[in-house]
Amino acid sequence: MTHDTSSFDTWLDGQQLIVAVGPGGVGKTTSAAALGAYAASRGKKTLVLTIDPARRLASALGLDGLSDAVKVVPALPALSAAMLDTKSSYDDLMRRITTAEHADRILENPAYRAFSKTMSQSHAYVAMERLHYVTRKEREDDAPTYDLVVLDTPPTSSALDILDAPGRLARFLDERIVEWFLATEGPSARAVKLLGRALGSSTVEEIVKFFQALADLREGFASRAQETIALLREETTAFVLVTAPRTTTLAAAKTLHEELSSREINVDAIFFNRAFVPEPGTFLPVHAPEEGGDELAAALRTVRAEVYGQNAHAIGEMKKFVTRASSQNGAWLLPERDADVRDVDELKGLMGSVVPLTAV
Amino acid sequence: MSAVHLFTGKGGVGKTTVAAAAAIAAAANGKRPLIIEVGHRAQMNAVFGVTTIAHKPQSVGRGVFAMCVDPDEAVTDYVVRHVKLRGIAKRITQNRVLGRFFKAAPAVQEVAVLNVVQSYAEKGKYDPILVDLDATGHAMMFLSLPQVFEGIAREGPLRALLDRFTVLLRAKTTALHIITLPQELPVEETLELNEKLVADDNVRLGSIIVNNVPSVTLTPRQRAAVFRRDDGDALLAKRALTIEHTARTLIDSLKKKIARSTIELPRLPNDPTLDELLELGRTMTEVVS
Repeated sequence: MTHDTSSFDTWLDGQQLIVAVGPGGVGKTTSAAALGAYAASRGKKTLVLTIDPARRLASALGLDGLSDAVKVVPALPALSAAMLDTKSSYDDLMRRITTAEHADRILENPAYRAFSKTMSQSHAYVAMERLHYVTRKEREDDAPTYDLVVLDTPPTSSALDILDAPGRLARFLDERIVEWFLATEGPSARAVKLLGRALGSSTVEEIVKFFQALADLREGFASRAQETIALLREETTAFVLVTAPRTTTLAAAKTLHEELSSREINVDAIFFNRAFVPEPGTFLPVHAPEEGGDELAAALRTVRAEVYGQNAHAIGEMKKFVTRASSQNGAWLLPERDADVRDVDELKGLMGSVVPLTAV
Repeated sequence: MSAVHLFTGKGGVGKTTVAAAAAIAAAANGKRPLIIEVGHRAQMNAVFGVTTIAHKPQSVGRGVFAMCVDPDEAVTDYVVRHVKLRGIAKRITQNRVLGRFFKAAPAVQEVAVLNVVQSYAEKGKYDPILVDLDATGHAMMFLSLPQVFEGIAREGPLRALLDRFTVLLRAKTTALHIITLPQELPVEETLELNEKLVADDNVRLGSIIVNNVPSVTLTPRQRAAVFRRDDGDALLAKRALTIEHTARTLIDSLKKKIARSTIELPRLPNDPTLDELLELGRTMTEVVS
């Protein structure tokens, strides 16, 4: 790194789990992968759990194809990566937690099939179950363990989607709700009938079948959820907020930050991706236009002036942002890049171009 | 029945700005547009400079109305609308276990949002209705709700609502517009998304809206001269020209591959004013008129 980042390195070395949150379209997946690659290049055995990476990033990580298995990145063996696919991850989850016969019965249930597709914030739930699996303490197999797991979260403008994700299915399979739906007489049976008025009786019948199929697994869902929630609150877990300096994006990032604070979760670091256009050959913002020169020089200066103005606006917005949304380990800027990341070396290099907000 | 314009596209492509621009221009044409923001996004208020946008339509200026769907209130709306007997509706919405069920059950919120869009479209008080959908994956799921519930909701109010939604999505006055940026990845993803939408065939497809199209203000002679120099200014100009060229090439390929209309929106200065948005909106004739 060109700037003094020793405090950043020390912080990174102390983490076992990094959760990257941020609004959509800010390059969160790339930033999470870059952070993982950087940690791996510092000798930490790292796993990046990513959601729906762009094709080029996937191939940079060696994640071609549709499988969601963990794969070691060939060019950087300390780094492993897995891409989460909602539908197959749900099915895998069911197969993991129950007998083959029971899993088949669940997988064939029409309500399960619909819900595994629509489960709001499905990705976040699946990511959390997967996180629980890779970080589990009791292991019956020789699956690898990691010094650091970097969890990329789905684009959402609500942090609550992520924080509440581990308990989502457990809450749905809440003891009282299940009992209600499975009761055949009494006041709860009447209430379920009421629901039929709102949804249609066939719908309620299907929901009851769904509950019948999943009721036995309720406790397992609940205990895994509790463990994952505890993991998110461990000392060695860090939340990193990734955003871009656009006004609407910053507004969404601000909401995310507030929601995390409201749950007493500190943001450890803020990354501003594509924060500014760098002066050619450097990692710092373009210089101000200079006076003088011929007609061509004056014309070119207008291009520089425009870029300079955009940078100045973005830097102003970012500085304003951090006065209202703090982070314990500072705010870091990744300059605009002219091309997408194509391989692991470029991914590692990304963190080499990071600039502290205080330096611009 | 109101005209319904659905906007989708990956995060960061400017869905909110584009929907706002279209609404402002529609209002300037004497219409009464309603923007429906989905998925607690809280971005539209920043565009119009109002503190908050709540679940009920409110005037946000320039003749535009906006609302941000609150999932819990949307569920209440659904029950009140579909359970005709008031006493029973009240018993459902006030039942604590059912309340927990509604909060936790998958797809309940999506159905409730669908109900909001459907009911404003049917009432016709606001026209057009501009729906700022969440990220692409979520939008795809939203549009396929009638299929998703195929095997589950076979009769009853939910089935009826889904059937009416299917009709609405295919109406001549409804269109789903894809918003994208003239950059490699967003264009690639737009082509993939379009392929899926065409295959699913759930909704009438509208325009491809390319936002933030760059243009460099250099004459042809100056452009040629740039490539004979290698100082910082020239390198920055080359960068700008490359971005402009890439954008042009990508837009041309989009037009070739997707036969529907393509709307190009110029790159605006930071934080566009409402007047600048009006100008932008006026170029989206297919959406506004």
